[in-house]
Amino acid sequence: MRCTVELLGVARLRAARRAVEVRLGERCGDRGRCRAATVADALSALAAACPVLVGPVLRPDGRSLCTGYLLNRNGREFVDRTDAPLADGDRLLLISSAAGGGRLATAARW
Amino acid sequence: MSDRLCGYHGRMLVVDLTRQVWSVEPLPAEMLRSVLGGTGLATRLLYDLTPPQADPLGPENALLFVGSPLVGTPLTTTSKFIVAARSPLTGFIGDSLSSSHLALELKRCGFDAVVLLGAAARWSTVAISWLGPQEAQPTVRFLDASDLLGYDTAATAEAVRAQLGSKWRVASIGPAGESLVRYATISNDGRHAGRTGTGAVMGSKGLKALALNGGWSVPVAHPEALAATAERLRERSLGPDTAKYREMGTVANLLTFDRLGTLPTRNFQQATFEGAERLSGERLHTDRYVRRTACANCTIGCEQLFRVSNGKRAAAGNGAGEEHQRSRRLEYETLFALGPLLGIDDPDFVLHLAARCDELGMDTISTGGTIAWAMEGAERGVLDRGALDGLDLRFGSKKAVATLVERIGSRAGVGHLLAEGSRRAAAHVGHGSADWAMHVKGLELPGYEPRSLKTMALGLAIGSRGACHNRVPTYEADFSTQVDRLAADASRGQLAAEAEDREAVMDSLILCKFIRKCLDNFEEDAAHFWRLVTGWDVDAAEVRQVGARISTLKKVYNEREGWSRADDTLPPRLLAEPLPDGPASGTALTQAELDSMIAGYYAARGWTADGRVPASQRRELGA
Repeated sequence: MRCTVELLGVARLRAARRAVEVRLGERCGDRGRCRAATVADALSALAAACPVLVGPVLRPDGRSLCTGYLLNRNGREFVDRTDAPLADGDRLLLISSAAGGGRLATAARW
Repeated sequence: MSDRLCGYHGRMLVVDLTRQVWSVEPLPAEMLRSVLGGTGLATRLLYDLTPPQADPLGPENALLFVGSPLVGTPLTTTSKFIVAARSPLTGFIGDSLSSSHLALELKRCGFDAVVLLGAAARWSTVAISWLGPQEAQPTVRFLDASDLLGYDTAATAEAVRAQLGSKWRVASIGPAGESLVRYATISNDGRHAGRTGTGAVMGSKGLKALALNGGWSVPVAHPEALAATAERLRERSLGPDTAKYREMGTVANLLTFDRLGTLPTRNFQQATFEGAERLSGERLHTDRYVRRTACANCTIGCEQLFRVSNGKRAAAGNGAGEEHQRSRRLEYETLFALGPLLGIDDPDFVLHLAARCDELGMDTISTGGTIAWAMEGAERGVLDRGALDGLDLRFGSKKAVATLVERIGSRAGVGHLLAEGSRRAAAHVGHGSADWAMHVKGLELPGYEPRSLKTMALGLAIGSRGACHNRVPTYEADFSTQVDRLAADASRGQLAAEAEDREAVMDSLILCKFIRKCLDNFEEDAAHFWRLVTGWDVDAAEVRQVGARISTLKKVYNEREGWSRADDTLPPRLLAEPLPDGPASGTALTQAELDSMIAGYYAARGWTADGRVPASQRRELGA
């Protein structure tokens, strides 16, 4: 199936690309059980297409986001689970989260 | 509580402009601890020092410049102050934050607040100097400013500094403040106390400029621990939590909001804009980025400068440098209000218009919101060419917009009507035009579409200063997985109350909002900062209590000035028309949904069903 990741904000500036179309297949284990492609799979494909994003935007594993970034699916719902399944034709928006909301930063003590 | 006051001076300067006299008044430690500083202290003083129903543009209204316990410390992003008065735009509390060197100079002058009462008989500059404990008292001079009339904001500041010396820091108004435009700003260090029309209050007092020069320092209780904390916060402020602000600034919002269907366009008739890509922060950065700048004592540096194509020289006499003539600063709210809201997608034009609003000293959100109301009125045939000085006003008509901005700034022709803001202009024109006057309590809406951000809709409706994204920033919940932003329920009331209290503390400490993601537990961290500076044994519970107290005090002030339940609402359009476009197309916000959220908010506050503060809470406030 195909999904599109549209890069917005800092991610677009870093990658110098507006969007990346990713092809995702079902993941099948050795016992024959298959699962749908997930957000993590899409991010992994994005990391392969835009390695410059790994580090500042994508974590080193390439399958999750750094703090300060968010994903939205089809302009409607925000997605914070990397195991969330995707559907063919989904459009993921990769947003600089300070455009509103976002996750809490990692712990720090003063 | 220790006798030694740290973090505060424990006094304010009260200036009577009518009689040209002044006095230094004490601010007791107990009172400072109860309201923290910044907006908390400003609200308390406004309540105590102004009579009920004072004419916002009359001599009885107080104009306050208020500092905070953190300003002047090494903690990053704390060089901020607040300006407050009864708003000439809303009739309720008007408070507006600004930042940079003037905040530091206010603290160095030896006061936690400067209160300006009365009105000068001639245009004046008030120059306040107090160089430290070696001087028995401050020096307050009332200087003739008649020769500065007509100067823009920057030119005024430059002229005053040329007269007094470069060590002085200046707050000034431009032609819009002189003309009592109800959404005029006060400018300092190239920044503006923008919303609610405090510039008009300053103009009504005949005060063209306030100049400060001080030499006081304020002790902190735990300087070594504070320095270590400040260093850790500085390091954190350079990390991913603030990357968006450092690398793009708030202009990053425009394209994101377009994709989410939350970008108000053509006076809130659409939620997406076909010109969003052309006007986007991403394009501005790719095509026009010059550099970024920072307020005093800020390590984030969110202010982005963009190049103007074929840039015309700035207005003569403003003393702007070469760089200023070729580049302009831009924030999201200005970009939205002078761009999509008016159907304009030309970045050069928006950059020029933003600079012109800064020079005239006008709030860009209310300027755009009021012109958008007029544009829709023209397209509907309610405002004909005769009413518009012959202008062909349509969405997207840049020439007419540029002319209107100039006329508003001087109240010339139709500018006299539009200088009143959309609420008063609609009341004057009639013919149902109030239905598309996009304001709450008279303050024009910021760039967040309430129908597709329903927690934000609540925050806008109940905001004490009107439609404001900063005082009750409930959009943070909407832009997350915490809630479904397209649905509404009574639980949003608790979220709004918590967000409002948190912001009340941020605006009282004062910390820049852009540092918020560097804090893990806001109340604990705020208490920690406050404790290190003052030495008081404050904790997170007290911080929460202070935040709620400040929010309630603002409401009590508004009740005194005539607030009723009917004021907590949204413009009719937002409650009658579903969204016509974007990913949330068809989504509506019903009156029942809004009422349910508002009832939840009142319940979370412990207020009556009709939103009034009960006697028990009033007693606690001494109101």
